[in-house]
Amino acid sequence: MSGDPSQLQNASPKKAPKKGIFYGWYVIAALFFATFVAIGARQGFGVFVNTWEQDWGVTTATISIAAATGWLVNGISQPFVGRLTDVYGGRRIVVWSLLVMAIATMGIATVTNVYGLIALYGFVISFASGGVSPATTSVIIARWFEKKRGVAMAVLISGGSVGGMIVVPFLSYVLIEFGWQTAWLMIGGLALAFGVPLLLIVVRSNPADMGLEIDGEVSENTPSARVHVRPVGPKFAEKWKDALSSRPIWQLSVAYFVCGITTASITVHFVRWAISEDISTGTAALAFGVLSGINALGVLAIGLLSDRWQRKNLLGVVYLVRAVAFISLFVLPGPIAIWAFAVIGGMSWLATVPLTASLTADVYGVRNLGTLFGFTNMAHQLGGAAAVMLFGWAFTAWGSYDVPFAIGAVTLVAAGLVSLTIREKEHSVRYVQVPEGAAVDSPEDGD
Amino acid sequence: MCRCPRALLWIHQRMVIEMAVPFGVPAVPVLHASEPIDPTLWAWLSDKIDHVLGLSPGMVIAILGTFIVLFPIVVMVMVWRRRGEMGR
Repeated sequence: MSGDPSQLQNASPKKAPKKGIFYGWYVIAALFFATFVAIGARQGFGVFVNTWEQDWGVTTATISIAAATGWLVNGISQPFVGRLTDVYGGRRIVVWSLLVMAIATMGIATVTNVYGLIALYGFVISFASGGVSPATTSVIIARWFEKKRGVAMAVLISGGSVGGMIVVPFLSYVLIEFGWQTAWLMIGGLALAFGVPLLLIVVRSNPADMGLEIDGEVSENTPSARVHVRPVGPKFAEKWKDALSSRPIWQLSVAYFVCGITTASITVHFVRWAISEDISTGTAALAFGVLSGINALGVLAIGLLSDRWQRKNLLGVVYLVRAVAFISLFVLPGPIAIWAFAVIGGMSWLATVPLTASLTADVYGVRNLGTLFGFTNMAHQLGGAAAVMLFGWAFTAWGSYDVPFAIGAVTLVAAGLVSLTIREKEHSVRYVQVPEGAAVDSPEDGD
Repeated sequence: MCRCPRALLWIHQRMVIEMAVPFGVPAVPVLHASEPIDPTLWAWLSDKIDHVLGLSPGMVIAILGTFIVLFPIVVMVMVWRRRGEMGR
C-alpha cells in the first residue's frame, strides 16, 4: 500500500496534547555535543603538525602516516561499530567510544615520537571515533524520529561542522598559550568530564526506555498494541547480509561512494588546484568560508525539505548540483570558478549525509541500520581514499586537474541518476505500511 | 616476484604523498569525514581571526572554553527539568 507520507503518518498512533519539548531533541543535543567534540578533536590534528615537526625532528610526510592510517581505520571501523550498535544498543557504543576516544586523546599528551602518534591517533582514536559517527548516532536518532527524521539527522550532522568551528580554534589557541600537550589534555579532559556524563545521563537507545513513543506520540491503544519503534522497513531482512541482495542498499552505497570521491578529493587537492590556477591561499580560504556558511544553511534546509518530499529526489538533485559545481571548476576561469564552486558546491556539501542515513532507515528499518549504514559509510571512506590517490596521480601525469574534475562530474551525474532511480514509494516506510505484526519492537538493547 | 607487496607499497606511498601536504583545506566546517585541517591555511585563518577580533589568545580560549563547558551543562539542566515534568 502506498500513498502520501502525511496520510500514512496521520494513520499512526494519535498525537497526545503537546507538553514540553520531545525528549528526542535532548538526545540530539547530547549526540550533537559528542559529535562536536569527537570530530573537532580529529580535525584539530592538523593544527599540531608544524609543532611536532620541530619537536620530533620529523617531516610532514612522516606525520601524515598517522593521518592516512586514521582515514583508513576510521572507514573500515564503520561496519564493525555499526554491527555492535545493532547488537548492544547505540547508547552503550557511543558512551564507550567517546570514553576510549577521550582517554586516548589525553594520551597523546604523553607521546614522544611519531610511532606513538600513529598508534594512538591512527588506530585507537580513529577506530573509537567510528563509534561517535553517523553509523552509530544516526541509528539512535532513527529510533527516536520517523516523521522528522530528515531534520533530526541534519541537526545532528551539523554538530560536526560546529565542532570544527569551535574546537579547532580552541586547540590552536591553547597550543599557542600553553603548548601542545596541554591542548590534547584539555580537549580529552573536556570530553571525559562533560561528554561522557552527558551521554550517560541523556541518551537512551530507544524512546521506549523513557516510556515514550517514536516522534513523541502516544497511542490510545492498549499497551500491548503500542508502537514503540517500527524496527523494520519494507525491505527488512532478518539477517543484515540478506539486505545486500536488495537494490536500494547498493544504489545508496554507490552514490555515497561517489560522495566520498568528490568530497575527499576536494578536501585534499583544492589548495593545489587553487595554486595551479594562480589563486592565493587567502582567496581559497575565503572561498571555503563562503562554502561553509552556505553549507550549514543548506544541510538544515535539505533536512526540513526531506521530511516533506521524496528523499531520493532531493538526494539525486544534491548530487547533480555538486556535478555542476565540479563542471564549473574546469569550464570557468579559475578566479570565477572558485566562487562558483563555493556557492554551488556549498549547497550540496553535507546534505548527502542526512538524506542517505534517513533513506537507509526508511527502507531497511532500524534493527540492522548500524551495520547497513556502516557499510555505506565504509564505501564513502574507501571512495575518498581512492580518489585522493588517483587525483594526485592524474595531476602528476597531466599537470592539470581538468581530467580528474571532469571524471568527478561524470561520477556525480551517475550518482544523481542512480539516486533518482531508487523506488522510494515502493521501499520506504513513509509510503508503505509495514505489517502490524512487525511493528512492535522488543527493546532487547534498551539501556 | 609477487606483485601484491609492490602494489601495497605503491598504495601506501600514494596515501602518504597525497595526504602529506596539505592535510586538508581550510574548510573547518566543511570537512566531510573529520579529516585534519591544513596547517598552513589554519595559520592564515588564525591570523585573520586575530586581525578581525583583536582578542588575546587567553580571551579566545576563555570564550570558546566557556561555550564548550556550558553547552553540556545547559543540556543536562534542561534534561533534569524535563524529567521532573515527566515524573522520571
